Amino acid sequence: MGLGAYIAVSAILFTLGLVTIAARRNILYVLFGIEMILNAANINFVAFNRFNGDGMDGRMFAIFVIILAAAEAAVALAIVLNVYQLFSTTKPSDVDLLRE
Amino acid sequence: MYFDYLNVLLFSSVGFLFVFINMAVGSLIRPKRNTEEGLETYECGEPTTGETWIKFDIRYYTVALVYVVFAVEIAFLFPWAIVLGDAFDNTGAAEGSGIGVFALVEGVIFIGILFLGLAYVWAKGDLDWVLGYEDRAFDPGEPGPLNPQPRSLAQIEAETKPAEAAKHGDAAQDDSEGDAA
Amino acid sequence: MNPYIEGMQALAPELVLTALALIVLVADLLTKGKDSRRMGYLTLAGLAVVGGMLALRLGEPSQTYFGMVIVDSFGTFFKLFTVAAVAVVCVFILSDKNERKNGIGEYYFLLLGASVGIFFMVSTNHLLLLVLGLELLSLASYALAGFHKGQRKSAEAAMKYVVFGGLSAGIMVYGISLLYGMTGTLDLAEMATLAGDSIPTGLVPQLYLSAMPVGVAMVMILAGFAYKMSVVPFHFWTPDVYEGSPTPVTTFLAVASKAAGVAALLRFVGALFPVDGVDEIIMWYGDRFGMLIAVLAAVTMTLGNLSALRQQSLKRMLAYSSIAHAGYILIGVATRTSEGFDAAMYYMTAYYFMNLGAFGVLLYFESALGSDRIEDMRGFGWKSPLISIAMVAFLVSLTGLPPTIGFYGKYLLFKVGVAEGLGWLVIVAALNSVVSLFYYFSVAKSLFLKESNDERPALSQPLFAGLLTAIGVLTIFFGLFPDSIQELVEMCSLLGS
Repeated sequence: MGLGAYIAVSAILFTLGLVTIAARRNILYVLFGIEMILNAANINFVAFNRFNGDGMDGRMFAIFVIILAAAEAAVALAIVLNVYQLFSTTKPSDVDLLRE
Repeated sequence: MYFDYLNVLLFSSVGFLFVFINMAVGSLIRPKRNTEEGLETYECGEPTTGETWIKFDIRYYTVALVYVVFAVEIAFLFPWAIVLGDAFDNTGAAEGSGIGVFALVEGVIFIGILFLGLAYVWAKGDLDWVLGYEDRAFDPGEPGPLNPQPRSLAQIEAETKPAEAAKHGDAAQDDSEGDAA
Repeated sequence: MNPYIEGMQALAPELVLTALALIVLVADLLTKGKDSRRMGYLTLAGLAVVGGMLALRLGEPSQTYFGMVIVDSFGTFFKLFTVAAVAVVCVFILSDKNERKNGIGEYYFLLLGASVGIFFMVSTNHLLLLVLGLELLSLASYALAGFHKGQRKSAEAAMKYVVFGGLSAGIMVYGISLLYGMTGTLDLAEMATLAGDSIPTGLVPQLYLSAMPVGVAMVMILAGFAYKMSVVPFHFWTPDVYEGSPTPVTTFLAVASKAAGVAALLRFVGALFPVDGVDEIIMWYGDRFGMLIAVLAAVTMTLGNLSALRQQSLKRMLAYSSIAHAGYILIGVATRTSEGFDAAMYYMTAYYFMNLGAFGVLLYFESALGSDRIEDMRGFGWKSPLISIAMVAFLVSLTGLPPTIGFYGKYLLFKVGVAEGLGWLVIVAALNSVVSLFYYFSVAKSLFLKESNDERPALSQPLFAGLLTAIGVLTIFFGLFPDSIQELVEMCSLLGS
């Protein structure tokens, strides 16, 4: 399998992530979309590292991105739970106290 | 070198086979009665109502979040642990760098900071399963608009759907925390 | 000596800051959250130590450690101002009448954690460390924005911040992965040189091959910077998050967090696309990149100023004003010259002073009046003259009129903009400054030219009032005598002069 296949998978995953963020009405799905974008980047990193010769840069980056995604999910879920406690909803469109 | 992965292949094949054979045997020998009651999620329990994810207690989330963070930090410890021996012997990947003790100390500091996080969660009472929030060791401070007492999701649901909750006869009376909007 | 030990010595300020954060957390746990003011004083003392260590390093030659961390005067410049800004934010927290007194030790822990993120973000050319610093800053900021967890507005601000932040960070990481694939390296300095030892070798061959994918990656990476600096089109979160967050946190986001974004962007552009690049195709591409930033600057400042015009709330108005100021700073970035970068750094210094002051006065008004509406501040100038006069100084500086530090900063930016052929952008910026005069002046008018019907007495907070007055005095002092800051900026110049 060539590099192109990996990049295609990652591009599809990235697009799916963006579409998820844009289309879903539930905040949790938005978080899923962000995870998908980060994992698309991870596929890129590992694939480029595999095909672009030596060095560990890409693989290192991938490990760090996994950690970042987990930490971000933890903080984001805590925030969403707090929003749910106060607003009793997880739809971003219903959480709109702050506006012009 | 492909031979090295043979045991991985064997291991995963046996795992898959074990699961599928058991399920296949089960589906062959169990009686098939597709009655309406039989297809319920809990055949001999209450009929299910409402959405699913709302029912969990908030404490599941706390523990799950803590678990996710700690589980993922392991990803750093594996590479470190594998090259630590090389670092001490000045061989392999760490040849000539002389960072044995340094690497050990750094790893210990990393684990120490993780333990600090665990201690924080512990001291804040988020690991106490049996105790209620009011019994926690850490003083949460005076309740007020900026410092509400944590509520379980069941309580919130009871507040937001008072009519439905009253019908079931378990309406939660809890006016102590106000929403300072 | 062992290079690792040497590197640790070079990283001493960062290590002390990290240790300080952990000490604050442990101390808060051991005291069971009682009387969190002590944690504030502990934080201030620790920040003084870190500031002292940093000040001693100013002017030392640039050095790279661990192949990632650059210790140079440019980074030290921003770190010093970050320490100062965080210290001022701590005083704000301690002076906030509406804040709890107990159980808020994490406030200081999160602020210090965010500062550690900033420290690494401003001192690296390596994209991995850049992303890590940015995310550390972001994660702490999300929690800080939602710190008043019983308040709906605060919770909503945190949610909006985490969604926009996660999205732009994700796009940035994806862009970095593309750039890594095309150039074979994560180090910006190595990327910009002609002969790397990895395959493929850097940006130049890729640009000769095809400029299109580089453009995609660059725009994606720019998204991360634009979000941190709240540049259009990644500014949507700014007004809502600034309004909903606790005011000390808003101050931190508007000042320290934005400055970190500016510093990282300066390093990024300075490493990849300086005006005198290594190869003609880099210079050709840099021109286009600079033009993109110039267009973003024009759109950002216009949108920020026009939206600020119709705001009733001072907090929201300052949020839009901070978007507009991001646009002004981008003028210096778009020139991609040493002079332009220096002007951006000078304007950033001015921005520190005037926005720390303006948000401080906002906090004072909120404590005294319980409201941030400009209308409710009628006649307040006659009740608290000192604070209000300082506020007028900040507003004059934000507008960019003499004799304040903001005037000289804008003058430098406009001068370098004209010199580098961005005359049209300077005209847009000048027109924007005229527009901004209206809304800044409306606050001053409300303070002094209207009758008050509010009978509440003024606050008596000598420490807080003294700090705000001191920032006001400095705003005017450095406007009258700009040379000292000018010398500091030139000493810390990124591209050398």
